[in-house]
Amino acid sequence: MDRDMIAELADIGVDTETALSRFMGNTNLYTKFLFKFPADDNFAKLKASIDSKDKDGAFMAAHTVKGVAANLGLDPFSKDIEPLVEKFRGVSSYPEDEDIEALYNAAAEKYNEICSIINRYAQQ
Amino acid sequence: MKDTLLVVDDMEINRDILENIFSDSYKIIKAENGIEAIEMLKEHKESICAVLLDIFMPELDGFGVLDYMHKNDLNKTVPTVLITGDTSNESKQKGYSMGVSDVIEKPFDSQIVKTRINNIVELYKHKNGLEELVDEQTRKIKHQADKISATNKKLWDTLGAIVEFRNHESGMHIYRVREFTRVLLEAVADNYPEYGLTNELIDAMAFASVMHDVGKISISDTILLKPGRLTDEEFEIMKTHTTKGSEIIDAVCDTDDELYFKFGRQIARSHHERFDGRGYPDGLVGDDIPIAAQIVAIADVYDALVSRRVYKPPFTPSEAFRMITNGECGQFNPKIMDSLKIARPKFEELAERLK
Repeated sequence: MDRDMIAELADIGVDTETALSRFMGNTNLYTKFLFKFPADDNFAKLKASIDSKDKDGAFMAAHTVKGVAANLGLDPFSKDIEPLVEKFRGVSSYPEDEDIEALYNAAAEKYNEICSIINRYAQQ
Repeated sequence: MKDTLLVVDDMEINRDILENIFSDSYKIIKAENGIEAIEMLKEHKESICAVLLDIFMPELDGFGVLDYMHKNDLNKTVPTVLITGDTSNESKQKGYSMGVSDVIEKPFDSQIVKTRINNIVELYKHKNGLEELVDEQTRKIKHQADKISATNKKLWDTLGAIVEFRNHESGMHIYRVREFTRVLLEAVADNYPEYGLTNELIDAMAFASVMHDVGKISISDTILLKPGRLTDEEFEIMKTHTTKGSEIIDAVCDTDDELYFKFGRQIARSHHERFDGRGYPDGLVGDDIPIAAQIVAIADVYDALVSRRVYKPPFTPSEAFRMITNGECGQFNPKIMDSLKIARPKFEELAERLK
């Protein structure tokens, strides 16, 4: 069952092979953290920080969620998050940049796609 | 026993991945932020063999932990590896400048992380072992040096005593001279700081005084033990005990690694010099005569005066004092004469006690 989820994620571009080797081939541990991914609130915090123009909150949340996603091999998502992190790195005030919304929306699309697969298996 | 890895990361997934990698080779303790990390460093510093440290964390970040380790000298014995998602060169440079051993970027390859951390832990184990070894060896060398120094001193005492026994004396003369020398040096040190006589110098000079007559070993019995007055020719030979003495010390102590080697040489050669240049063997004048030799000269004369010799009865301490200060035994440094006046009660007490 877990292997089906991993295969399905691999089909949409998740680098499950590298991620599994990161977990030293421990499928249970990999699955445990995949299931935790939708529950992690950092992506929601990122949205809230963008809405309230909180540059520090946005950076911290984007940086954290990028790290988790990269660990899990969620490349399609983390590739979109990465430029967002850079938008907020070391800025002195909230950047007035139209790309931020576009980047966020692209990331959100991938996020939802990944989470819907994981949630389907999590409920089983 | 250093067998514990401290994993510091605010994200559970990162802590667990690292734990999963290392749990078969190390004990793992985990901290969620810098404050917790410092608590664990305090509690487990004897057992932690490496710190795997994230940079961005709530409460206190990774640089705060590095700062703590630096201030408490932990960075010298415990390697830290930054494991960070922050790929900027600025952060890496800051980390390296704060003494981290390595920077590993997230997401990482577990096999590579495992190998790199193991290498660093091994390297530090080796380094810490070497440092302990050096400390241990340094202690041993110090101990051996102390032993050698003690043996050297014993040899000197023995050599001084042998010369005196050959002179058919009791061996007490050199000890009395040493005590008179010390008392007089202390009086000079108190009243004439220009001679720069520290306690260390006084100890070395007093100790070296046992060698003042070592050159007499080269003088033949017929002269050395002659009961009557020496002829001019015999006296010339007798005078060579000064130069022979310094030659003997030169031959025995070919280095200057002990202060008293130098003073022994000066004392043996120059303890018959006089302040006005009328002494021997070099006719040195004033403070050209080494201070150690000037002092021993007086101690030697004083002891000769208050002791019984085959050719004379003992003088009383007050007679000896008068004969030295009024120039009957040759002229001495006026500053030392002043010091002798100050030290007179101690001299007389010593003369009585060591009779």
